[in-house]
Amino acid sequence: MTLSPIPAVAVRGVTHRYAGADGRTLLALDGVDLEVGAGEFVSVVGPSGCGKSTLLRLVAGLLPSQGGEVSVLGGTPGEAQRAHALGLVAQEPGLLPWRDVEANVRLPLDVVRAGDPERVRALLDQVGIAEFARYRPATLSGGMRQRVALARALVHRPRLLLMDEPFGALDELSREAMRLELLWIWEHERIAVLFVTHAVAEAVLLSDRVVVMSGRPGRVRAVIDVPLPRPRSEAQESTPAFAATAAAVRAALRSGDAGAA
Amino acid sequence: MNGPASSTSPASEIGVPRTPLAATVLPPVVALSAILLLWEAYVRLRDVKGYLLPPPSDVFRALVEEPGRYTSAAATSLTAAVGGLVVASVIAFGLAVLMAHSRLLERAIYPPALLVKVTPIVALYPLLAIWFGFGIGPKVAIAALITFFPMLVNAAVGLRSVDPQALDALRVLAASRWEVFRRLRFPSSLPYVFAALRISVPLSLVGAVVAEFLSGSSGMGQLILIANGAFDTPALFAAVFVLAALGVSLTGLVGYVERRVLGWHVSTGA
Repeated sequence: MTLSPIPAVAVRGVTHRYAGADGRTLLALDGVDLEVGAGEFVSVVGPSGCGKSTLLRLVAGLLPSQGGEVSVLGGTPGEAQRAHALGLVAQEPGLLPWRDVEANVRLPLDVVRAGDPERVRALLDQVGIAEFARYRPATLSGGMRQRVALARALVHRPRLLLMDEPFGALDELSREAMRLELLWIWEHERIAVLFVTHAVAEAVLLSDRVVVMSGRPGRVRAVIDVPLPRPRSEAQESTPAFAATAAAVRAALRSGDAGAA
Repeated sequence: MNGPASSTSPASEIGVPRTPLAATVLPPVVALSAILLLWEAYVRLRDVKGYLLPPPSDVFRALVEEPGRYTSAAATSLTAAVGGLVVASVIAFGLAVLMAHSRLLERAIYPPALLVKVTPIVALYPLLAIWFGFGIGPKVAIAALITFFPMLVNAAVGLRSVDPQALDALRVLAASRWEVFRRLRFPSSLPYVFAALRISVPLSLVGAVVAEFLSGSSGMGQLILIANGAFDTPALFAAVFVLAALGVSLTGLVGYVERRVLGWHVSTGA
């Protein structure tokens, strides 16, 4: 094993503008820095419209870079895509309705024409949907569909998992169950995760570090280390360290509000 | 084994119970029978002249006395209609693929296509006859021109109607355009393609028959012209019935294939 000093994500001074309908431009990101180490779990927290999804899409190579430096696994986002090193889970599962659960999870292997078909079954087991392998997505609950999306994002063994409010559309019980499943998977896969959310407790429970953003224009307001030991569990949500970290994140979010007002 | 009326359809994948066959087939059969009976009774009781409105029994007799006359004409018209439909669908789908991949090409292709749609196709017949002769050629061309636009527009919309999250999932894998097309765009477009076919099938028959009216070449249109000239109203009605049956059968065939291919799609669940 070689020590890998190459961070999973290195974003420096990234600026991004959207063209508005009225001809003016909206500054979505303004001089944003972000680093995710190899195997590190980093959350980005911020209010709606703070540009955190834009940031994630830039890292994913789904948006062309306009200014600043976006390095993913030591190369460009496009190179990371071509190396099949990225996995993506969005708020909506984006499953193919004509494929059953197993075939949906297999999709990346079909596209890249590589990988281990055995892993499809193993992942279905890991996220607890093996018994639904032959079901079509339309017959599943929202939580089940999002588990399928998570398995699909991992099946080709990516080195960086990008998650854009992956549990945002789920009910509270499904959210809590999936957080723990994600933690369990992350402990085993040891891949880097960039996790975008607006839920502070979720970010603290899952992450090594929490990046707090403010909105319009999107800027990084604070980067807060989470001192909780691994492996994490729900029980840690009632510890003083958890409360202190969550309070620090909320304070950083509020300071953004004050600045804007 | 169950009786034919309550044949057990395989439980659909979503588990929605199918409506019993009797409940779907019986009402239209009863309604059609009632119309024919009323028609028959009206003609006989009011003693309506046969050349104005023949009783259904006379129409039926015209059909069974010379079945070959109708089947060969039907085969001729059907060939032209389906030929035109296939030619138009293939070309329209190909153009729709180009339109779905380039807004520039979409802007280039759409206006001429719209021009084809708004032009009364019948007016093109003399030109088509010059180009394609007097056989099946202009009939196929008319059927194709009539069915072209619905397929073009539906396929173009369908090919663009992809789930953006599914598209992102493919894009982060650096999937090629071809991979995106065959894994996502093409299957996503199928519900729209079948919707276009359901519109186009009856139109293709219209195109073939109109072309036969204009050219006098063989087929159901010619059969109707001849029956009309001979004041053979029962044969005229028989021809119309045969055309109606063709339309129903073709539409039914499209529906059958659609249910087989699109079992996953919500519109086929009901």
